[in-house]
Amino acid sequence: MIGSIDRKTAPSLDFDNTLSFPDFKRGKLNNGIPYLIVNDGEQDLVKINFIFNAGKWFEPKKLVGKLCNKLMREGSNDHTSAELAEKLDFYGVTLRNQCKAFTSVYSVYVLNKHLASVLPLLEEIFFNASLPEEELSIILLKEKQRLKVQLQRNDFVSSQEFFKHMYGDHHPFGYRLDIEDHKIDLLPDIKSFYSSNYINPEKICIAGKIKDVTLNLLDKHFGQNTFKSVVYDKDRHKPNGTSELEHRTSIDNSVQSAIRIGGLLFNKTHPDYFDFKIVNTILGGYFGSRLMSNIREEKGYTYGIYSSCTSLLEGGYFSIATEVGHKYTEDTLKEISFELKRLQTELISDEELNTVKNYMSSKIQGSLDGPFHSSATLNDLWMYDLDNQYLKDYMDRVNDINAEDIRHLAQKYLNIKDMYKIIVS
Amino acid sequence: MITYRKETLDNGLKIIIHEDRSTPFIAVNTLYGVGSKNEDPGRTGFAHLFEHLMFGGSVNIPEFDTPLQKAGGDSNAFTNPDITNYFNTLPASNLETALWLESDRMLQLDFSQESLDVQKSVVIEEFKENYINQPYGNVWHHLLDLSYKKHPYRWPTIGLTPQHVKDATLDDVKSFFYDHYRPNNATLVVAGNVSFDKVMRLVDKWFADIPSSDIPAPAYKHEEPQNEARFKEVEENVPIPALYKTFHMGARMDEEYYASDLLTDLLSSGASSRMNQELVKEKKIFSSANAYISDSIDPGLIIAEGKINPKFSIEEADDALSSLLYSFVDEVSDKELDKVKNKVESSIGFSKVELLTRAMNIAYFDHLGDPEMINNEEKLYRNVSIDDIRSAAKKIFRKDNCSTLYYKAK
Repeated sequence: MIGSIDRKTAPSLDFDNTLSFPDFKRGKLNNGIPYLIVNDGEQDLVKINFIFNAGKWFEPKKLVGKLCNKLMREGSNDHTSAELAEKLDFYGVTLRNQCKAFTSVYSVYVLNKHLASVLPLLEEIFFNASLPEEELSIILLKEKQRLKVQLQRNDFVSSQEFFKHMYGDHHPFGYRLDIEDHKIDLLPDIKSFYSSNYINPEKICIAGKIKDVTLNLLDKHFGQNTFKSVVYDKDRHKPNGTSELEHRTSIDNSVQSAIRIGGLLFNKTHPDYFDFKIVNTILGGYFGSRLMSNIREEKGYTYGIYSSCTSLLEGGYFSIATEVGHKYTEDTLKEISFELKRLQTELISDEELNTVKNYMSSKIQGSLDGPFHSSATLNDLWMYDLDNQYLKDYMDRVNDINAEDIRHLAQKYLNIKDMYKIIVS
Repeated sequence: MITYRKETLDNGLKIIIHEDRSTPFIAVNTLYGVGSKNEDPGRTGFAHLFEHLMFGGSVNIPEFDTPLQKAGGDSNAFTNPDITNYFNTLPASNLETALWLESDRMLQLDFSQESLDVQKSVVIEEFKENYINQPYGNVWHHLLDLSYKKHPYRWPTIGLTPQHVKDATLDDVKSFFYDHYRPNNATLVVAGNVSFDKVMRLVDKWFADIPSSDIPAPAYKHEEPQNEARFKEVEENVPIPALYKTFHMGARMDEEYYASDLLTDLLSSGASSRMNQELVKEKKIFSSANAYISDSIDPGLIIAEGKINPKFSIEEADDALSSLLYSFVDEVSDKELDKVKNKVESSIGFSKVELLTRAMNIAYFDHLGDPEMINNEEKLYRNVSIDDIRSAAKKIFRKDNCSTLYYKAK
């Protein structure tokens, strides 16, 4: 029987690059808080993101944003930390909170049948947190313990150095955390940060199976008080990177080198952003990328090597990251440099370019697949005041770009001599 | 309710098709019933190394990933002590590409020395990255070795030492392939925007002629009940001392499994859990404390662990954790049990949102013996009574069923 079919020839491929947007709506609660709703999915549940202008950008001091974000769920004027935890757990809720670069986000994962019971608890956390000193001391202890462990990891130290080099030690994205920074006397700063930056969510994003009652409930709990936007000063911080481009350091007993290479970049509103994303994919953005093929699949120097471009509300950055055996460090640096150079000199083959186009087109479609992917994608556009046309333009650019465009972009931006190189051995 | 249909080909390959018309994608998940428990004790880490080789080319196709990426797809895999699971996501219109690729590597691998050499090096770097060059990275090496004496769960899936990976030969690869990577040792799940008929027609085309073969009966020994407290102390280059305690529990398909899993939820699921409230927040002995099950198919472990705060000795931490483990169950109320069941209900709901997770879970439940568990698992948790919890705790949390590891800071 074997051999009766042609196994050597790949089956023919079929693509439909149209984008199918889910059932979504941008609107405003009664008091004007903007929301985005994505109604999609079979399961009777929702994920709601409450987005506050309370990220690191707004911090008055190192760590205040992060500590405030953690402390506010540890007790309200009506409930202790333990009581709040008990109630949230009883309703089966997963509540994730993260202080990001610009925003602080609380994400709640809840079955629809419990939503009405859970929203009042979130209301307490967002507007009536008691910010107890005792709970702050527990958080500080945990954070110090966690940091001690992280400081023994090459990848953590290299990424800390990388950000410090790009943004400078006084920038909220560049400062280095030390154990001594975790001080209980940050509490007054945390309290005042909570009063100034957690007035109301700046945006709410709801995804999952939306019921008639969903918006009514959000209005009831978050749509009553006057909406006051927390002002966002785009000139508050400027990156002040170091002039030292290459930095090498080491950690005791380490057996690998963590390498970070890259630098500051623009964000997704820049005209070159699409092209950069495409070039990044070719270089190190997927498993078949040049860095991965060369340094992992041909040479076996590493378990993985990736490049990425990260868009922030102000600016962004490009980075190549890997961990390699000590003896491969210099050769890896040489090969990274070689791959950057190759993008700047050679034209990509049709074969490789087609693979990347197909791969990326499918990824763009995938970013709209299912309630959580699609809400993340649409929410991201919303943060930059972009609409769905942006994604269509991205899809078009992926399919239109040619080999010259790619080489041109690489020549413009991928100059290794201008990049930071951090090596932690 | 997740709907699906199951068929078995003449060569023994099990096929499960789950239609979901709301997505333009498909997930193709292939589970092989082989994991690190099927390894030779002198060649540990081999099942995982083999997983890497499955991407390095098959008899008719030089390399797995490129054609899949060209079809707009993505692929990955994982190995654990019990199974090796390969998964692809791609536009539904290119279903045949995934089946062509999966069937060719099931038919026969390329058995290339070059691919073996490169992947040995990649896996050794993975070993370094995650198990050597990482604080607490070798904890499972210590812990499993202490907890299991006979069963191959005594070594981690990555292997006992990088040397075992270095020693692997092409002959090992060939015999492992023919012993385990046969259609009659696999479940193929196709999920997404496809019709049953179309999938069956294509599966028949690409998989029906792959020969089955006798899968050797597992040669490993089962673990005997532990009857004495075990203890090990190590000093490592870590900043904070950590404590680990393991207890043997039942097998995945034992009735007691659900009570055992809920026991660990009572202990550490959510901020209101017993370990977090008592040990982290009230007594402040640990900066983090968790309990969970190893979730293996053969009899597994409950693990309770924590990192210890300054000012407390590891012995004090051990006393506090032990006294909690040995007594908390008497205080558990119906309401507390309902709380952890509600959390399970919610987790199961959220686990059904992603197509790929559904496909993986269907495959795993089929491997366990009943794909319908995807729909009735929640009920099995709900049915656990407070008496079930107490009797499971009594059986499991005993001093002579416990292995304790003191992981001290140098």
